[in-house]
Amino acid sequence: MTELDDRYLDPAVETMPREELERLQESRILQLVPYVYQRSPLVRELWEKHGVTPDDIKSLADFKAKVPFMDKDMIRDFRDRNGDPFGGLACVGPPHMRGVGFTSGTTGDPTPLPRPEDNAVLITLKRELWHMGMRPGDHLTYLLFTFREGMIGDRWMDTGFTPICVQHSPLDIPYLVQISKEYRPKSLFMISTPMILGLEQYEKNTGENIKEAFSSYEGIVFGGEPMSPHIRKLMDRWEFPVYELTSLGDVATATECSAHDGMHTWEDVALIEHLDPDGNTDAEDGARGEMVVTALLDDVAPLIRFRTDDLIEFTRKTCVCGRTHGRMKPLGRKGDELVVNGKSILPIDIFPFIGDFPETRTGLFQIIRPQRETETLKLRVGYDADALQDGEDALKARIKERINAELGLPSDIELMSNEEMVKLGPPNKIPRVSKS
Amino acid sequence: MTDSSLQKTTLLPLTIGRFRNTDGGFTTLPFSLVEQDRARRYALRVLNTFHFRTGSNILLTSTFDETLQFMPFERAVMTYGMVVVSADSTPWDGKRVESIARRFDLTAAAGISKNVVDGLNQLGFKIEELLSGIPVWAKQDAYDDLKALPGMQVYRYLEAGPLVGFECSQGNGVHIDRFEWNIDEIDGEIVASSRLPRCVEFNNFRTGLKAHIDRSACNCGNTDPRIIPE
Ligand SMILES: [Zn+2]
Repeated sequence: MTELDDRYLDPAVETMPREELERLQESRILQLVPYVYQRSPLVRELWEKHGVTPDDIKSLADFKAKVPFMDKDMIRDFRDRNGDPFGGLACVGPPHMRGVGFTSGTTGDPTPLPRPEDNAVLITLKRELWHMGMRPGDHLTYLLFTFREGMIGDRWMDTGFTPICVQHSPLDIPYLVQISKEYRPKSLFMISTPMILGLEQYEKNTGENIKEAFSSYEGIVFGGEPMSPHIRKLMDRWEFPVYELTSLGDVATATECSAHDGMHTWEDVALIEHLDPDGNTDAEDGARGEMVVTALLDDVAPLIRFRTDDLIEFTRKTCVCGRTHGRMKPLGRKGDELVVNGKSILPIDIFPFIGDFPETRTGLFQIIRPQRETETLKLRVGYDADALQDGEDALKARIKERINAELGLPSDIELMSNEEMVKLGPPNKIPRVSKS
Repeated sequence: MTDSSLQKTTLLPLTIGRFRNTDGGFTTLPFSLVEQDRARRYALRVLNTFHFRTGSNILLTSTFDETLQFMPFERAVMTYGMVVVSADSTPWDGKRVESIARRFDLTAAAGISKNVVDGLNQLGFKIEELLSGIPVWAKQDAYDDLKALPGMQVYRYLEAGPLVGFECSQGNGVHIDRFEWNIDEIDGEIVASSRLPRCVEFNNFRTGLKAHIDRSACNCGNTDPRIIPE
């Protein structure tokens, strides 16, 4: 029998030459085009408005040149005009449609993500966990931050991994430690700022040796938001083998590989476009751009040229891990961008230094963004009252001085206790940008 | 075929769930696909007593760790041809629960816990307005409060150690699959023994649940015994 390359779960797809990968995308796109045109009310309305029909799309190049973009506002507008909870995206109803999940929905009503019996969301994660060392018979600590995707503990049968389902809540840390010691799982999906802070607290309260309890893990996936220096320091001390995760525009997840040089955007699952943030043309390879996705393996409610609002750095250069699919680095959301005195500020600009003071080392903060442009950078910063060095006003002054040194901007600081900050939820992160 | 090309093995667990034990902590519970599917068929039998319309929507609130408690129910709803609309049963997901109740034409709701009710209250929403007039399966920590509200049709969704069940359309006790479990009432506590091969078998397991058992035939036509908590 042919020996498979054991480094990859799906060697043929993961290392497929670019040219072949694009041919695969084209064949999927050409099947998708008439399908969504006939079945998705939003696609039909949008394409008719732009005078596009399936007959106009004969290649991948035609698709990129002619198919109109869709965005969150269009989906919501269609939903409200037509009383359609799916915003015109659903191509089928039950029984092929079996469940409905949602985007996290930080603003307005969350967007529904209807799904069939099985969907492509986990394909990408399975590849990454395999790459981290998981093999059939190994245990996975499954710490997804939501049940919105439904009960998916049985979706791992085709890998032979056995998931142990844990609630993503600092209250569940004793159980997380318990199962890590009992089953010695090889990977963990996923850990976040609040869970790491919870582990730190647990270590302090119980004297538990976290490094020892977690020593069986060969891969621990961290996600939800950028990693602050304090969080990184804790995970380094515990010797966590960390891989960062981001969302592939709600189509799937994208996770780092062993090269730790970007997260793999699996392009057999999603067509990724990377556009100039101020226009509709391709950004240069490696440059900052907006991610636009088309779901290639979703026949229930596929997103078609969906503008994700996510700013990314993106490259299609082959990775040193041997995979040929693209890689991205998330920078933040276009809609979160605050322009202070003409300077663009995203949460990613604040993470590197805000936790440098003894009082603020948890790195919790929110950018206050009442509108897109302001003259002062207003920040809400989490702090530990027990660690206060010289009073609240002096702490504020030190933070302001640091912001001026790092970003050259005037600032206004509101202090809030760490406990209150964490309550701003959801469980895997706090919103880093707030209107007030 | 040669003998060496075949090898007998034991089945792997499908996933590892957990149940709350009488010490207040959790006991891990690996279970196989066979067990999951038996539990799904049990859930389908109970669901059938409601004669829902296929294609209709059921709200299910849960947390990610509750595979043992809710995967069979979720899959039974899907098998029936209905759509499961999911939200977290944490205090943070009230906004989503409200949005689902408003935007989706719901036929029933399940897994409603005290956290769900509290999350809605914090945002100023009343559960008796959002879910009035449809069957609502409530967990033990919310059942009594919801049952007292006017206009609500409340049924039990029960957990007792590894036992999980919910009430049929008659709402007079939680059916327990009699082929899967042998249950008894000892000093007012439910004690359970498993009857079929499982990843983890139970022998006179004290669940900690104070309840009594009704073994008479239910008006729904199901002859599984029913647990009625105190
Ligand atoms: Zn790589």
